[in-house]
This record gives sequence, structure tokens and C-alpha cells, in this order.
Amino acid sequence: MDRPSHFLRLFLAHESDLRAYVATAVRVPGSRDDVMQEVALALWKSFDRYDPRQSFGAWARGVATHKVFDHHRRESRRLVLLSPEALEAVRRAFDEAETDGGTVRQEEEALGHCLKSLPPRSAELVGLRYSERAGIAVLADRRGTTTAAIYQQLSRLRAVLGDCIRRRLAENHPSEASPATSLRIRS
Amino acid sequence: MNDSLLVEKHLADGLTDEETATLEAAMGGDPAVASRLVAAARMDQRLAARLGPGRSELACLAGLKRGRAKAHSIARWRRPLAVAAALVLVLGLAAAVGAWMRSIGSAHSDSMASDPPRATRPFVPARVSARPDRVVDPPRVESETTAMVSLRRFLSRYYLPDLKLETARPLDEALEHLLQRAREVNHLKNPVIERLSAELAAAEEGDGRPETVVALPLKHVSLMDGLTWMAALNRSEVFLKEPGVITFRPWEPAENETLVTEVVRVRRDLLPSEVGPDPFGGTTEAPTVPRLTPIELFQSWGIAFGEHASASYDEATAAMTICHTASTIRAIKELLAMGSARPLVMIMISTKILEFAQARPIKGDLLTDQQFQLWLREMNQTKGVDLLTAPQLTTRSGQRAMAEVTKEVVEPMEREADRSETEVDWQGLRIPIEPILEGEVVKLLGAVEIRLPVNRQAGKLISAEKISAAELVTTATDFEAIIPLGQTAVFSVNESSDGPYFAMAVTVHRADGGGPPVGEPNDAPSPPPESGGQRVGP
Repeated sequence: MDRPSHFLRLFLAHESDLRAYVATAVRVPGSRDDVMQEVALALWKSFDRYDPRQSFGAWARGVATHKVFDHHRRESRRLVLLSPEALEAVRRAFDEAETDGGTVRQEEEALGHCLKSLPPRSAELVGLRYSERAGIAVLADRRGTTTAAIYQQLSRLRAVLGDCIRRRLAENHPSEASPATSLRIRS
Repeated sequence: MNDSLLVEKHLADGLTDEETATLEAAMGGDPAVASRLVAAARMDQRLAARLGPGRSELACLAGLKRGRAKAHSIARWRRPLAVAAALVLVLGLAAAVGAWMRSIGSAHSDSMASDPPRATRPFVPARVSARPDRVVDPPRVESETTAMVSLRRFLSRYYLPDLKLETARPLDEALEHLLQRAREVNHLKNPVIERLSAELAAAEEGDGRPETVVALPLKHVSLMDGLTWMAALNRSEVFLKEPGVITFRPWEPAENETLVTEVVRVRRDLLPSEVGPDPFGGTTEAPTVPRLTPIELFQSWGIAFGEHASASYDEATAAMTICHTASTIRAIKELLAMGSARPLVMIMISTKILEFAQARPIKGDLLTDQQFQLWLREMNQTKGVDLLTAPQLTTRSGQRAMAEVTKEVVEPMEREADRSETEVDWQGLRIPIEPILEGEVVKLLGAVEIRLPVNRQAGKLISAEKISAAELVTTATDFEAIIPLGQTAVFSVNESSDGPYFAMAVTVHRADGGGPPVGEPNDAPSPPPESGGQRVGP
């Protein structure tokens, strides 16, 4: 496999988790895409230094952490980050929760099934939030409730989807869904 | 704010410094908090990647089986394409259109009324209205000839009071129902309508019957709108071809028939609201009408919602979020647009009440505008004939209204003994009336009631006598008339009584000025109130 193909295969397999990591590290949602672009570029430039025996996800998060801080310094501290200690805790949690590319694909498939099993009102909320990109305040206004209630509903929805994914993976591949994995994902 | 809410807010909107400090402290004290943050962030990213904008194949929660949806779309289009290409409505040839065009302004003497006059008075339309058409032209197809444009205009102003099927039926059956209704209200025996026929050629496959099922929940709809409605449900457009042929031309199949989500603005009265207690009604027994869901509404129109399709309505913004295939969403939008664009069918009813000093029976007659003017002039020059009042009202087709020229009369119940108790009565004229546009005529269902003091001066509505001393005499009759637009029906109100003697003239016109939609797919409440008629004094 040539270098670009190899990089792309690994990057695409871990892109979602990497975006999630950047999202946790950067407190301003509007800056997360900018940081992610820089991280992707930095990963490609330094891909020669990647040791295939190591986890690509862990290596990428390490690079991302440096880029996040670089960006933070260059942009005159406009990016508000979590503290280094909190960021380190997040990195450890990501490392523990990391799955390989095959599992990611299975989880994606399971997510598709789980989304279809959502009750209509929950499905509508998810659709508005992610398809329409409706803000929390807008959702609260539409549903005649508070933003705290919307946060709560989204939190529960994610938990329900996470449980559903784990159930499906356990049904389809009992040996691959370890209890430890379930415990880490459960929220 | 607990940890879960902090996590959600961090991902969605960002945290304040204080909230960030709280979250960081929680993560420092309990590693599980960091795990929850990570789990939430991962799920958030996966959902955004799967459902986010720009990912049309995943934009709908249900649209996850792209391959299956594609295959389904091809199968779904094969038969409608074949059938729609073969579906031809023969409306009569150009001769029929020409005959209709020539018939404008020419007289018909056919009698349409078969029942003899009793308490009600059926009227015989005698002439095709020569009144200029006020209907807004529907969109035209460029290649249509002048004759076909005229035909389209005619179909657009030919109104059916209702076009309903209790259950969704195959397209050809629904089409036959539409043609049958058109003939039923063809009081003027218009040759175009008489020769209207549907011809359904055999399809290239199957038994030739289209799979499309059509529901018809329409009221006060033009023939053209009825055809357009069916065409949209059949994913087609109505196209007129010479000589007088209507075809349903199928839309181009969409390239991608996977489920997509679209937000469509709709009329606020599209879904009838649940009725709550009327704060001014003084009653606690408010009727409650179950509200239709958007899916129920669309299904009542004949649009199927499969397992993964959905529709939701946001009352605050009057926005409908529809998740369906692109072609179905287009059909829904066309049906919604058709309902919003259809002109409000408004009927102006002009009446004249004449009083005769002597009995002068007038057998029900129908007059053209010219004939009516001559008749009025003759009455004006006749001694002992007075124009009592001439109220006029405008109301929508199918809406009952009241023309009223009255004065309140307060009568003591015990004139001599106790004047504290009184009852309220009225004198004057009341004409409750309901016009229904049928084809090219207006069907009027109404009554006229005249209550006047006995000892008043003839020809005066409100006399100068002391009302409290007057005795009121009531003259009333019901009537039913079928009057071509622009014409006038005249008849005696009380030809068999001993007097006073009255005659009534009723003229009907279209008074459309655009406005809210006419279509009421689910019998949504009408904007004008029950007494929506416009009262005009004598």
C-alpha cells in the first residue's frame, strides 16, 4: 500500500474520534473545525514519523494536542482550551475507549440500526439537532422547554444509542464486545 | 448544573470559565466524568457525520439503506412511467372546444328544472354567462395553442362544489369520479363537459391499471385543480395537447430517490388546531377536535408514508419538516402550493326587493343583464311599484351568509300593566343565503323574510308610526335557484297572500380577489365567520 493510501485509510478510520477529541479540547465550538484542519495537515506532514506498531489514534491525539496548543499560542489565546490536566484526563479516556477500525465500522452499522429504532419524538430531536443543525436554544424554543431540558434529552439519547450499539455488537459478536468496553462507553 | 449537563453544554455551546472550572474539577476528582465526556463527544461526532448537512443520503434518520431505496425507486417509476405515458384524457376534439367557444354569449333555452315550483323555486338557466372571466390564469405550457389555453382557462373556472372519495382509489377510478362530478353540475349542458371522457390506454406491462391511488378530499375546486391534484399524486403534470387532449406527463425521475429531509412552510390553518375553551363564550363545553398529524393529513391526500418516512409540524414557525423521497416531497410541495395559490371563490349576491300596491304575480324567471335593466325600467315607470331595499352581500362559495336590513323593536310585553318587561323584536328584511358555485352557475339556497308594520306607508321600509303600537306582518318564503353568473332571477315573494305584495330579484357575480386557499383538504375551519356576509344598507 502506498503512503497516501495508507495514511488515508488510517486517518478516515480515526477521523471521527479525532474530531471528538478536538471537540473536547477546544471550548469554542466555532474554532473546532479550524483546529481539525490544522491537525489533519500536521498528521500528513509527520506521517513518516508514525510507528505502525503503535496505535494510530493515540499517536494522532498526541499530534493533535501539540497542534491545539500551537494554535492556541499563535492565535493570541483566542482559543479557550481545557486545562492541561483535564486534557490529559480526556486523552487517557480516549486511549481506553479506542477501538480498531473494524469495530468502528461495526459500531457505525449498529448506530444506523439504533437510530431507526428511536421513538418519533426522539428521532425528530436528533434530526433537528444534527441534520438541521438547530441550536440548543432553538430546539428549546421549538419544543417549548428549557435549554437544560434539551441538554438532558440529548444526553439521554446518546446514552440510549450507546446502549443500543453495545447490545447489537454483543448480539452479533459476543466475543468482541468485552465488558470492559461496555463499562467505558456507558455514561 | 450537573456533570452530564456540563458535558452537553461543552459540546454544544461551550462553557463559561466558571463552568469549565467546575467540569475540570469534576474530571480531576472522578475519571468517569472524563469517560462520559469522551463517550458523549464520540457519539456527537458520529451523529454529526451520519446526519449532518451535505450528507443527503443520511440526512434522514430513516434513509440509511441507500441501495435498497434506489432499487425501490426504479421499480416504483417503471409502471407509472408506462401508465402515465399511456394515460390520456380525451376531452372532445377541437370541434368541441370550438363549439364551447362559440357558445359563449349564445343563448340556451334548455330547461334544467324538472320539479314544479313548490315552497322552493328552482330556476331554469337560460343562457351562458357572457361575463368576463376573472380567474387568474394558471401556469401555461408554452406549446399550448390559443384553443388549448382557452380550454385550460375554462377548466380553471369550472368549479365543483366538492370532489371527494371516501377511500383512496386507483387513478383511473378517481379520474372517472372527477368527470362524473363535472357532468353532474353541468347545468348549462356545456358541450365541452358533455363530451368529456377519459380514455385509459393499456399499459405496457401489468393489467394497465396504475398503481397510484388518489384520495380526493377537495371542496370548491376547479376542474383544472382537480386534475392537477391527481397529476401531482401521480408524480406528473397536466399537459394539454391538440385537439383537446389532456395527458399526464410524468416528471423526470429523480436521480436519487433516497430519503431526504426538507422544511416546508405551510399555512397556519393547514392542520386544524385543537379547540380549547372559548374565553368569551361563557361555556365550559368547548368542542374538542382531535388534531390531525402531518402524516395523517398527507395520507388522507393519498401520499404513502413508508416505514422510515416522517413528517412533523412546528406550530410556532408553521414549518413542516418532511422526511421522504425527493419526488414525494416535490408532490407534497405542489399540493401545498396548489392549495395556497387557488383563488378564493367569492360570490357577490345583489338583491332588490320591490313592493307592489296590487297583486302582481311574477313567475320565476331568469333574465340577462340587459333584460333585467329593461324590466327594472319598466317597474320604475309603473305606478304602485316601489323599490323597498337593495341589499348586497359577498361571501365565499359554500359559506352561508345573511343580508339584513332591520331595525330593532322593543315591545312591552304588558303594555298597560308592567312596562318593565319587554321583548326585543325586529322589523325589516332578512335574507339568509348560501351560494355554491357549480360548474358555471351559482346554486342559491336561501330564504327571504320581510317583517313590516301593518299601518306603515307603502314603499317605506321604516315607517314613521309609533312602532310600539304597530303590529308586524311577516312575509316569508324559501327559495332555491340555479343562476348562471351575471344573470338575475326574479320571483314573487308572496304571490298567494292578500298582501303586501313583494318581488325579489337576485343577481350573482363572481367577486374573486385572491386570498386564502379554497382547498380545505380536511375541512379546516374557514376564516370568515358564519355571518360573514357583507351587509349593505338599502
